[in-house]
Amino acid sequence: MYVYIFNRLVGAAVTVFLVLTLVFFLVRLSGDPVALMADPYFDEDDIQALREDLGLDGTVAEQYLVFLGNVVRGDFGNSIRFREPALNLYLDRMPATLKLMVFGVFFAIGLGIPIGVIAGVSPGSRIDGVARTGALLGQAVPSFWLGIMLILLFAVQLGWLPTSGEHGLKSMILPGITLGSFSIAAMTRLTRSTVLDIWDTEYVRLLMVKGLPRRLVIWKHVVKNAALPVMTLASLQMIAFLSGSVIVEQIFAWPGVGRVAVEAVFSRDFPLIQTVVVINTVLLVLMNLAVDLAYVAIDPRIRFTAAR
Amino acid sequence: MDDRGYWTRRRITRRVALRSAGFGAAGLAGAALFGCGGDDEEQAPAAPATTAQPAGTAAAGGTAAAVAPGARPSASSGHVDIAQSSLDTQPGDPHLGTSGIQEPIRYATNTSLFTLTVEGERVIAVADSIEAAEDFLSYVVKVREGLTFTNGDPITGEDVKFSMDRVAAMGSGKASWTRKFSSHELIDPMTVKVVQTQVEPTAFLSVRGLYTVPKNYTEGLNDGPWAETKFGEAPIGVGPYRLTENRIGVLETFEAHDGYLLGAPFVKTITVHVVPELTTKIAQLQTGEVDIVQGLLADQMDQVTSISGGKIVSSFGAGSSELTYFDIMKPDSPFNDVRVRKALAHAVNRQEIIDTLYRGQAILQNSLHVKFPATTGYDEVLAKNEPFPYDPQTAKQLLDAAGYGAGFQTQITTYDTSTSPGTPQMMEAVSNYLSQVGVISPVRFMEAGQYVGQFREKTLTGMGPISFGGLADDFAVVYETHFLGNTGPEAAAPFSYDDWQEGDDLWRAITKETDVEKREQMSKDLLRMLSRDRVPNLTLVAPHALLGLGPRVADFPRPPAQPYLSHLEHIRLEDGA
Repeated sequence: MYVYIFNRLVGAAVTVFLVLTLVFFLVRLSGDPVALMADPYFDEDDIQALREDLGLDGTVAEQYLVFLGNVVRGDFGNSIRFREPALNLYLDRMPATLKLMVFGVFFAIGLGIPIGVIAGVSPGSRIDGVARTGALLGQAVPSFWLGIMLILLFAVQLGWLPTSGEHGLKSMILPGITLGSFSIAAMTRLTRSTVLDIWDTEYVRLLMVKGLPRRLVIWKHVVKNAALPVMTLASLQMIAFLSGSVIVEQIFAWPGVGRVAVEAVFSRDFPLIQTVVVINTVLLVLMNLAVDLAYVAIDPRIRFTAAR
Repeated sequence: MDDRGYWTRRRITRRVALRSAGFGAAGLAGAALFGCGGDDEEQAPAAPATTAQPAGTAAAGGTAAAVAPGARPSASSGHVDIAQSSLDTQPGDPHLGTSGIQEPIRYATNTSLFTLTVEGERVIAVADSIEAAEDFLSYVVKVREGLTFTNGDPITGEDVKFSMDRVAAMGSGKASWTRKFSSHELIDPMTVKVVQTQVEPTAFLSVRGLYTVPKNYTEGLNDGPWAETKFGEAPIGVGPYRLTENRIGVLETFEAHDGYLLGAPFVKTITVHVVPELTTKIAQLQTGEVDIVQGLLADQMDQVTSISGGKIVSSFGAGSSELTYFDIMKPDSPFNDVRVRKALAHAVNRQEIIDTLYRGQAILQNSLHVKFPATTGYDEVLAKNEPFPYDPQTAKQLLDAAGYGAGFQTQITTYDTSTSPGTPQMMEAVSNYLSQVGVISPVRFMEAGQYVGQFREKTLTGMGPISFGGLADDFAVVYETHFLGNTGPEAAAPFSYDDWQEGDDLWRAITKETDVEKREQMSKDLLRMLSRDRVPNLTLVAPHALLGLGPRVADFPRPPAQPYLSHLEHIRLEDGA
């Protein structure tokens, strides 16, 4: 087990290094950030002075070596645009993204799994029909439109909730629903499909014949066996939420990392782009590792394979 | 008194500036605005009048009421929330700003040696006078007595000199500063002498007039000689407001400086929120979460005026749209022939663009970049008469004469810009007009960063728009940044694709000319020649910048040609709000 974890961590480190290098060179193909920042009154001397101030006057190779040396010390450099440590800017926005992520995950998993289970164990029923229609709409309706409609209805017309911004629990509801709408639909459909497969198996029929309560059969046996693919999807959703949703943050003026990332791309803010990508990569590999370890906890067969 | 020779006067004083800058017409108010040191001859400028409302403003919402002249509060009160699409990098440090979108917010916390009033007139502010030497190579700046920073420290010549030192050492415009000014020294506690490297009456404009920061406070931050990091976190300035909270990408909060040199602001605290989505901003106005929204499109006016007490105010001609002919210097390009350039100008129905795309919320732009009398070089005849009226017949005749009677193929590359909203749609309209005279120009959309970068690198082909906001101070400065070619020792303008020897030579003569009348006439001549004869750009329209006011706001006067927020000190709340 520990060897497995060690091997995975080494692999993760290599992955992060490769991603870091790839992003470093790729972003520099997107254009000159100094040209974007320069005031119209700047001439070439001003632009060159600005380039020197920002550490962009050396060769790409020189910049890469400096960057690597700083990264191992935890220094991702200063944002070109904001002239503040890029890591600080990212971490400053992370709490807002985490809040939205928790709400979105709670919404998606908390509703998507139960609905999917209920629909899966009663195929063809009215509940199943409503669940499938809801899932279809959830995946078909663009989040951009949904967010605006929710604002117009619940904030403008009814006045129940704020339109936007981060102002506490009430302000998380509309963006959380918008963020989670696609995920709840995806969770519902996958859970339904997986439960449907398992519900038809012989061992489930045996459990029912033995006289176990239906509720026990569903929630203790069926759901546990349906958990693996659902957990995989849930982890991917969490990663997506952690990376920030640009559309939701745009509509609701939510100060998360998604907007930071997009603004960094548009302004060619190399250090900030690199910071966002590297941290998201680290989170992704760690999340994948956690999910893999969770598989072992849920499925004994996997444990057996790992022990060999 | 016509003051379009503002920058080339030998001596500029507050009295001269106020009298000549149109305040006489507005009527000098009796109420004192700021400490005049007991000088009976100094008079306070009139309180700003509301910008005239554009035609077509919905009657249901009404227009903002005119402000009574001379009314400034003894102390500010109340709070206002504003929604703006972006605050860009939000630098707290006025010497580190780099873009136009930051400039209006900087006005809130800083005032330079001179400033722009809400009527669009320039007045000197921190300076009491600026006197040029006979040869115009040096200037003596006398600092106004009795002024204080927002922390209460008095402003002295040492602070002005320190600010100049700071800009020269670490400011974002330090290269321009050191190129234009060879030295500056304190000659008495309230006087600084500045020496230029060459005669250039408008040199102060290119360094944004020099924002003054407090020497003692800055040095007391113990962050190196210039406090490059710490000053921006807790900036102190001379503006109507002090920055009290600065969350990057989220909001900025300002608190009034009641001792501001031009009079206390009306509103005590203002929070500007970053709200990227226009629909959300309007929703915020509808729910009362914000009181002012910036960046409205003409199509959204009805949504604001349908709010009970909702109003629209606008800054006239804030945007500036021109189509640049990127291939103007290529011998085998149709755009190399001036007849083709004039033909395309005749082919576009700009009034129809204003009426349909902008619902009347724009003005014709008849000359390159210069739209208002406050700009040196403004030509009233040119401004009020289209040099190339819509006339497809004449367009076809010119194309025929140039050998392109059968038309030709080119392209329009465009981008989206908040300075001139609706630019991509306008380019589609232009493309349609051009196709009617045989010029096929499909529109290619490019991301803004890439477009501006390639524009400056001069790698674009065909045609493309470039938009600038703000009130141009002097056409010679505009020419230097937008039209100067590679015809002499100076670096070509970053946005120029043209190398026009005649125009560049005239520009060089203008920059050296110190006679006010001659300079004015030469600037007009250059503008006329450029707009009517050379035609390196196809002028289009100048959209108004529209803002929506909620019911709590009585008025928010807007200066002309200002696409973003500025003059926050003039926001007035309704009684009881």
